[in-house]
Amino acid sequence: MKAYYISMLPEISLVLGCLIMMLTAHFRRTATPKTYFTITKIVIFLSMILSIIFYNQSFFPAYIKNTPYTTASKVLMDIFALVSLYLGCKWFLNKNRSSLSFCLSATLSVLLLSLSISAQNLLVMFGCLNIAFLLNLLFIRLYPAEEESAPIIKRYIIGFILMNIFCISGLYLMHANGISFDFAAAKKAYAQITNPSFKEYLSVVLIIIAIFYMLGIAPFHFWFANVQSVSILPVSMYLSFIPPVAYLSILINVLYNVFYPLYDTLHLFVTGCAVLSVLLGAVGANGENNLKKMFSYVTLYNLGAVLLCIADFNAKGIFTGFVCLIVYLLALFGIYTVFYSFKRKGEYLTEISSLSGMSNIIPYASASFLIFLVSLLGTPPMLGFLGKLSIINYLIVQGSYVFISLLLMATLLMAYAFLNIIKTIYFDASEGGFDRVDKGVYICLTINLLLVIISILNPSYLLHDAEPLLTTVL
Amino acid sequence: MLIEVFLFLVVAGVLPIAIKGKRLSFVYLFLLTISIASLLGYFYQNWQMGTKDNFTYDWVSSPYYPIKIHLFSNFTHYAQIFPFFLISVIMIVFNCFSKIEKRKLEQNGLICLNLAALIMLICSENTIQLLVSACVIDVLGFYIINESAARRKYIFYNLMADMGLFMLFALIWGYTESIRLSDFGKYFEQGEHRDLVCILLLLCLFIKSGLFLFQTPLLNWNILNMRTIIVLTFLSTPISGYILFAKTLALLPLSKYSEPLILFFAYASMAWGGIGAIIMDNLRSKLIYLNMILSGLIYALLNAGLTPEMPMFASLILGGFLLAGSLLLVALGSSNEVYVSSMGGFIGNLKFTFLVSLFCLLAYIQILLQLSQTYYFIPIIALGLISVSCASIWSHIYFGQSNADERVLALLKNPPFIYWGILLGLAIYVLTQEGEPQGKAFIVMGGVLLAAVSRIFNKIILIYDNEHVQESDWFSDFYHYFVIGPVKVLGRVLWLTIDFLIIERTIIYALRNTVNLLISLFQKIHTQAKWAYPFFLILGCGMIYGSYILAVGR
Amino acid sequence: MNTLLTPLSVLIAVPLIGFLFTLLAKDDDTTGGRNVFSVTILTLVSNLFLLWRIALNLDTDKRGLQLLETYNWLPYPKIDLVFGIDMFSLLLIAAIHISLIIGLAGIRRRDQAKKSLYALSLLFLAMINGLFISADIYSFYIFFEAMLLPLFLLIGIFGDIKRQVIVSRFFIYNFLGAVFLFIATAVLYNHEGHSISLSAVSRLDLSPKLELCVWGAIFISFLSRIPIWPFHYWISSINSAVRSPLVFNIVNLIPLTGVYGFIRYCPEAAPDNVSYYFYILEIIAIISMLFIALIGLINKDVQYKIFSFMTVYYIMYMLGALLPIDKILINIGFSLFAFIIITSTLEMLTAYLEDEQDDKSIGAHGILCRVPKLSFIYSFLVLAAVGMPVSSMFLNNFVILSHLFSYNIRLGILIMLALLLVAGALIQELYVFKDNSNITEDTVCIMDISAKMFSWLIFLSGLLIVTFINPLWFIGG
Repeated sequence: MKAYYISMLPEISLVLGCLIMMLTAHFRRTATPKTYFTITKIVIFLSMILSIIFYNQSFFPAYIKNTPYTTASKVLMDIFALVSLYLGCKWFLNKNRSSLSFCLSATLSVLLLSLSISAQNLLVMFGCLNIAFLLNLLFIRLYPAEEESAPIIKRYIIGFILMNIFCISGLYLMHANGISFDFAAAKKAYAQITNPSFKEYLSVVLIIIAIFYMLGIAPFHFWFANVQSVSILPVSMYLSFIPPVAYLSILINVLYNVFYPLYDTLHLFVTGCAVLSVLLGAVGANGENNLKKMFSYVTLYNLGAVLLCIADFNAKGIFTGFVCLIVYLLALFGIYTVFYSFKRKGEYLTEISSLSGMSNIIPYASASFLIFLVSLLGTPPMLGFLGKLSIINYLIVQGSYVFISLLLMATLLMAYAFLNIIKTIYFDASEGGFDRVDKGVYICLTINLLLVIISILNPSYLLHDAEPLLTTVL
Repeated sequence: MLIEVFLFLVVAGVLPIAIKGKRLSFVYLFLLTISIASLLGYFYQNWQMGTKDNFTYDWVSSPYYPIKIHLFSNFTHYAQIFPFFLISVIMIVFNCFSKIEKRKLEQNGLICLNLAALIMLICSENTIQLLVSACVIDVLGFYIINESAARRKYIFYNLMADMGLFMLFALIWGYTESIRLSDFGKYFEQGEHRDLVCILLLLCLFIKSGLFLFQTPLLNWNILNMRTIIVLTFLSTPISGYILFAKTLALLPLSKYSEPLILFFAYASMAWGGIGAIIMDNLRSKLIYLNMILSGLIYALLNAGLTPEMPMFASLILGGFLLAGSLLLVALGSSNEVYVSSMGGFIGNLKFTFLVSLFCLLAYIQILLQLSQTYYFIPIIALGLISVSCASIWSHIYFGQSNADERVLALLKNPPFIYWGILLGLAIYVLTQEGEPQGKAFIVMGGVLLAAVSRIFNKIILIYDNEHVQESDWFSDFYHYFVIGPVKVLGRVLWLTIDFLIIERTIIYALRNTVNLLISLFQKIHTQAKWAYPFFLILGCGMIYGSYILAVGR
Repeated sequence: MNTLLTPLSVLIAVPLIGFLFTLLAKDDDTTGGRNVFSVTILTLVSNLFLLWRIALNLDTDKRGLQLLETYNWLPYPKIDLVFGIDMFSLLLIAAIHISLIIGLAGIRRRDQAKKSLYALSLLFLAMINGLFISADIYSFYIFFEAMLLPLFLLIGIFGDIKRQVIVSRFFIYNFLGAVFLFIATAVLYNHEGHSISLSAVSRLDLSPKLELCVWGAIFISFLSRIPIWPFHYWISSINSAVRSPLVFNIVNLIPLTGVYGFIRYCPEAAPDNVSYYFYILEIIAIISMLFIALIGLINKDVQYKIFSFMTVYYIMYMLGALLPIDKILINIGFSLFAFIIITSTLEMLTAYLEDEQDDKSIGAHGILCRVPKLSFIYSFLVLAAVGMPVSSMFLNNFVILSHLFSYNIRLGILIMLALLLVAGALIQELYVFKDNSNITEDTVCIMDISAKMFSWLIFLSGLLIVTFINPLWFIGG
């Protein structure tokens, strides 16, 4: 029993972190933005280490259970959270604004998402997710332009209600069908159903839709791009990485450990959503001038691609999806890191047109940006190719030639959108100077680039233990 | 032996080009002239001694495409090379002593290289060597012509001819898998497209030699100095045309069209050459037209059985060269005046030149009469045309009313001994080679003289004044309007319709508009949030229901 | 073998190291780009030296790729990258290096000689080297697509192209081609369960439907690199608009990758099921040749003429490569070697002439009249280009064409017609440059090339002549 309580330490450290931050805010009036970031980073790092230590121990295994798979997901999430916070700190230091709300929300969000990842019960999972999703509101409300953010916050709340309607309806229908909220029991119950009725089907789909909604999978993606466009850069970066990693991990967990027996019925719906995401992501990216909004569509496209692999409910699919996800995250992370160097007179630039001639002024940041863009396109020799290779190879094995065509058509469209950015950065004449790039940004970029180079030269380093680790979810 | 001559010529040819413009270049020039003249002596000596050797260079030793370069020293080759060697040496000497030639050393170097290429051409035993040497002669001809305007059509026409030959030999090789000329026979057995092969071959050779319909590039040479024109007409592409013809004669029986084609072009060339030689005012043009008669004659004779190794062939070439040389003497004597209409009455000052010209023509007539004994009327036709042409030319130059300007009259005198001496010597040599001059030759000569003195061609001066006749290039205009023009129009139409109208304006625009439409639709849905939410929710619901129906149905 | 430092890998690594050095080299107004220039030249020369060493180790009589190296790259899907080289690849790589050196000489006097230009050129070099030493389908595809990025940047940044939208279309078009190759590669991989060598592709036993789809994708991808009608538009727009000689030389290597693809994928013959469709390809190729040759003839831009010349020749090489024999492979290699050098040098001199024209504000007519050194070299190159026997193009084209004739005489005749048209177009332009009809003593004339440049060009001309006399001179063959 003692061991069980100790295994709560990762979560406890995060809670403690929140408390320390509140106490600091209360007692130390001169706290700089860096203070909260330091506390957050320490507690998240601590939580990550503790998660690794207690990777297979759970304090309440009936509801919250740690497995190598959940630990890997949490570690991934924590790493991205740490680096996001490191970079986010630059923004707050630059603007000299309080980072309390941001750090507190982030720590709480990580805590709730960690719990949801390990959840073994749908009610617990959705409880944590709901709060985490609601916490996003705090993020969005951080220093936005009032006239732009007000309607978006309103819409976000409507969306939140909508998502809850899906979720509650789904759970209610499950309950009405006499199915337990416990993962194992639910899976067992679904295994008994050979030909699900529409009601049974709907209960499952509504739950999946709720996760899709949070993840921003089409056609339930409409909130994501708008939120991204009004959020400040650290929030935007945070929302692009931490929640999606967690949601995706949860989605895989739910699909495989709860709804797996309904594969035949669900497959078409999940695949449809994936394809729609890929297409809408590619088309959406083309029409945008706002970088954050544009990359939210890129996220949609990539999540769609990952979902396309997961939709087959098998180990190879998960592995392929994981490779795509890692590759995409690394590239997108690089992109967001470079966003921190798009600064003119202290203001962070978000419009593509404002990047004209950037390559002449900040060549290394521009070059890195280019590398990550090309990586996102999946062009060799960039790491993105590994993702493209994995997914196409997987789809060929599955014989899904139609999906391959659609995916590649979408890639072409995406390429068209990226070329527009490259053209602006590299070919257009400069329209103004850029501020000096922070060394921290360069450090992050260098590490990211090194990771990319090492991974592409020898992908085994990246993928060595991934497959056995991922299969623990099954 | 030939390999030594060949290598010497190559070195002697490259050196002057490398050292041109350096101090003491006249020393090099002199040394070159002496050495090439000595080389001719060495060559002649070996010929007379009957020195033989079979030099072969294994150029490409690939099992698929073995190519050998042959430079066999034998009687046949000596006999064929000799006239060109002699002409080359004479032209080198002429250049050496020329007062107006600015690039003597370079020109002489090019002549040496050209001769080396001619030797290679004559010694060819395979199509590759034949093609390479013919092309090298073209390239050297290109550099010998020092006027841009004169080069233009030369290179166009020769390029066409070379590519034609290239295609032809490639085609033959494709069928016979052999490049040996002696294996042309295999093409008889298995070859297809025989008519095409023959017609193409003949057209290419006619282009090279500047026969009727293809004389334009040669006529463009009329802006060059007389020496250069002579070098080109007697050492360059027209000659390579004859040799190629002789080498590929075995192919001609393949088609029934060969014979009529050769005869038509040969006679038409002779006729057109004769007319041109009479009606053109420009002495250089006259020289080119006279050469056209010679070219037509050579093709007709080669077709009739004359071969390049026969002494008569060499004599014929030398005869033509002598006649051209006699015109060169006139130009030199009259301070390079080229318009016959601006001459007249030169007999007073150019007696000696006229005398040499008489010898030259006599030698030529003698040769043609000799040939007529074997080939009957063909040389007679040429003889008639040449006689009339010469009578007309002499009539105007020597016996006509003087139209020369003061400068020409003041400087009018016989050219230096070196020029007329060499030509006279050569004329005498040719005459002695052909045996005692026949009575017929003197009769013809007398007729020419009589016609010249009596000035029966006096009225032709009216044509000299006709700018339209003098300046027009009908054949060139014909090609321009009926071949090049339509091709260019076709190119422009294709560009406009395919590139611009179909690809750019239709395909690209359609694709671009489709993508733009998709994007604008997407943006409309997303920016109008009140529509976006319900729209995507309905879409989601539709997908849920549709997936269920499909999944259960399946 | 699973080490990175084997001769063939070094061929890729050296330009990549050079690329890093150029990025790190100090390059400001005081250095005038000398540092990066030196690094680039050193990289190219080192690689040429390495190539020579590799050439000495090659058995010229042996068929197929030699000095094979395998690199275990990806565990899942299990992909090993295999590299190999033969005399054909070696000739092409050497020609590309020389072409880049020529391009570098061409841009030396321009003020656009920036660090990134050199760096991207080296990156491109590394990728194209990789392509030419690829021995399996995956490594081929990787380099086939990887070269697009440096190419795109080079064109976009240094190409001086006014209509930038064309650059994007060009990229998308080539990217689409690469996507097709990727699908074909992945399908072949999964069909066999492992990566396969390039030469084995045509021998695979595929179902007729799959065979058609795979080969269709392969053909489309290679054709996307060759300005083939009706998709020649973007490539022609780019090629004729690029003003930097180095970038032009690089851009014009792109069709070479397509031709090379055909050669490697169909070394002897494509499967019967596919060969049936060669007629369509031949018709399209011929239409393209004639079409581009005609446009080259009417176009007044000398660069377009060079482009049309190159395109027609590339298509001829492609048709030669598609013939059901492999013994002309080396002929194509020898011919391409001279062809690349000739066209690169021509382009460099054309760019020089255009710069001088702009500087002196004079027209093209008679521009070569008073510059004997430049005139001599330019004339020589034009003559070499049109097929005179001064380079290895002459003899090897003879062999290629003779095979084309024996394969299909109509095809051969039309090819010859196209060759004639482009040759005519080049000569026509030469005469515009040499037309002295309006040149007087007072006419402003351009500056002749420097003695150093002249010596370099004489060296290149000599090299061409040497290739004519003995193509394998560098290994004492």
